[in-house]
Amino acid sequence: MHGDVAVFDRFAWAYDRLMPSADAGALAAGLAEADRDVDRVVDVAGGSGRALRAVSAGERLVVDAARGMLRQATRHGLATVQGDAAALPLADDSADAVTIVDALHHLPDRDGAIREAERVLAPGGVLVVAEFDPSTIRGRGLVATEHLVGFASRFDTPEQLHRRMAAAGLEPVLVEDGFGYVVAGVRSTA
Amino acid sequence: MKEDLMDIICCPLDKHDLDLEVDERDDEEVLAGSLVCTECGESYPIEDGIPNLLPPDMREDAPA
Repeated sequence: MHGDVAVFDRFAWAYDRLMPSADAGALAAGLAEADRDVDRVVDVAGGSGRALRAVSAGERLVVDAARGMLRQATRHGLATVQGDAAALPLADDSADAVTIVDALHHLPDRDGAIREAERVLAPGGVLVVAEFDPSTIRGRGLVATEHLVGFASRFDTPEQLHRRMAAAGLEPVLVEDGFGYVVAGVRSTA
Repeated sequence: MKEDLMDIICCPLDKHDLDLEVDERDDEEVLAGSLVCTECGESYPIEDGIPNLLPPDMREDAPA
């Protein structure tokens, strides 16, 4: 199986109990960077929909490669599509916002995932990425733990993610700094 | 999946529109069926109400 997908399929049942809920305030601040109304939000690699459940929006869709995680999201009333972050099955300009929450480090093709997010965003739409900074003390501990449980995780620092988003044509803003940080990248309206 | 999802989903390979073929549905959504690309003809299954739009080489049952 692809990347960390098999691990998530095995642990889907326990995931919501083990993971803290995503920081809804920081996510909302990221979404507020959009230069358009945010009605449709797509959570890429969104798993059980843990982060998306904390977001208020008209239409909420979870895309994930792991089917076990999507069953959990469906139970919470979210729309779900099984798909790959680097080959999104979504039309151009179809989303007002894309979120990737605590998940970019699991993706085998991070640049591909960000390019695809940019493609599906409507002009003025925003990509909000929440990640962990591996250069902080807690970040170094997290990297060690994830490798120990069998994940192939690779973490970006805020600066690396900033460069990755800019290379994909998004205008990045650091919304929240620290061990858990949030970068919002806005698609130009031009 | 609810049918209004058809407005935004597409083929993951060439991003063309999909045709919906329904095998089983209830009042709210399509439970089983397939999504067929109008361009390349690739067929993607809908099972337990969840469409599997992974590229075919990433499907669990695909040969490695």
